[in-house]
Amino acid sequence: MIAGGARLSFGARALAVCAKDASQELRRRVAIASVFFFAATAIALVSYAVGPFGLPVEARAGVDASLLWILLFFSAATGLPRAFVREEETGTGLALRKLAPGVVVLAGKTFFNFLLFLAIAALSVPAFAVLLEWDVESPAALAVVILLGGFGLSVVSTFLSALIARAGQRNVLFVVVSFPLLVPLLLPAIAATMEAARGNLASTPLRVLLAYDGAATCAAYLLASVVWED
Amino acid sequence: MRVEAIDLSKSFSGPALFTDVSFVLERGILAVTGPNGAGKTTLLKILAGLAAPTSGRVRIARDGRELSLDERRSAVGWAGPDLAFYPELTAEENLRFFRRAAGYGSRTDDLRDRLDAVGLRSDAAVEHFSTGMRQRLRIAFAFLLDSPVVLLDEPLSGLDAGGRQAVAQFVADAGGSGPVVLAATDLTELPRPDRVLEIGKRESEDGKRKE
Repeated sequence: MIAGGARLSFGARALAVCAKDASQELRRRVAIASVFFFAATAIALVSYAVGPFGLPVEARAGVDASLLWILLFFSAATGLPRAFVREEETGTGLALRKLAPGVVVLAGKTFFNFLLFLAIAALSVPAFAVLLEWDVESPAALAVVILLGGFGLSVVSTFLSALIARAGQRNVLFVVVSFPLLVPLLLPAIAATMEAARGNLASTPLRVLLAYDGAATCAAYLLASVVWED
Repeated sequence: MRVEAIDLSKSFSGPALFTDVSFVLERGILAVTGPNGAGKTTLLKILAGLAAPTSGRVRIARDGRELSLDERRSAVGWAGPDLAFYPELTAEENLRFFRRAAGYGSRTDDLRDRLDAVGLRSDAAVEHFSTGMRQRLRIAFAFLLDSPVVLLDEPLSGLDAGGRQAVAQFVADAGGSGPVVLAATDLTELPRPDRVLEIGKRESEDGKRKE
């Protein structure tokens, strides 16, 4: 219409947003450093209090799955909300708002946050398992749970980031607002993780996770432009 | 392209910044002038679709068809003092990203040409840019999509003599092909506008500003 060259698809535009966020993060390393430092500290403390030096293995079968998701949730809560907040802090939200619709920006930032979550999980879950001597009978089932849980966590965190980006006391607000929204995700994720540790692929909690991810994605898609605009 | 402002008014919590601003522009340069705080920046943001008026509306039409908000944002090139760039990225990376986010491909030589045109040759991250370099990048951003309508808010701010000359030439060229709206407190070094709209100065008892 205006500029020369072929028009890019929705996916290519969202990928551009994701690549830009990744490029910024790799150069600044604020979110990555804080997320991994938090995860490392939390794993060290948890392994000392609950692991081989604390509770015996047989006494904490149900505790491990909860601890893992608490660890993943708070590690994610350290970094994921920065997605939109950073745009407002640097003042770049105005330029981005002018050129890209909310749904493109939300999709790109969600994808980046999902990749960040997977990086957190890829490092922290094996460390958690080793330090807490946590035996997982079915690593494949655990991977499915982490993928589904992580996706829902990324969608909701990114959407909330857009919602709170221009509010005061953003960090407190994020935790307060995210808690009721993420409990329905965390409970089936914990249940499915416990089953994965026992070697089962728990179908009911996984179906709940899948439904949650679908509902969260639809809600975020429908509301993206509302939260993105003034 | 036809840019039409219809009885635009804007107020924040206090008294109105401006009321009943109306004009129609199809070609040439319209200069919006007025003292600091008169609402020039806000008026340009409203025209660009980046802020909502308290009352009134903006109509930008191509061949008689009114553009949607998303179409309007692409059809209007805008640069203002609030325009910021990603500090970790270079000028070229910023422009490439914004073009792709807007849905257009980007060739390195094309982006370099655009930066050359505003006299910006730097591979440094934007966080190391001077005020003048940032302003040159803002001008490059305004022309990034070759939008038919251009809105420039204090385009010469922070520029050296060479920069002011280059930007003035940009404005003159753009005004020859489509509508350009300039907001400036001082018009001396800018191309002579075809029309001038003064806001922030009460010209009548009801405070209405008409061209």
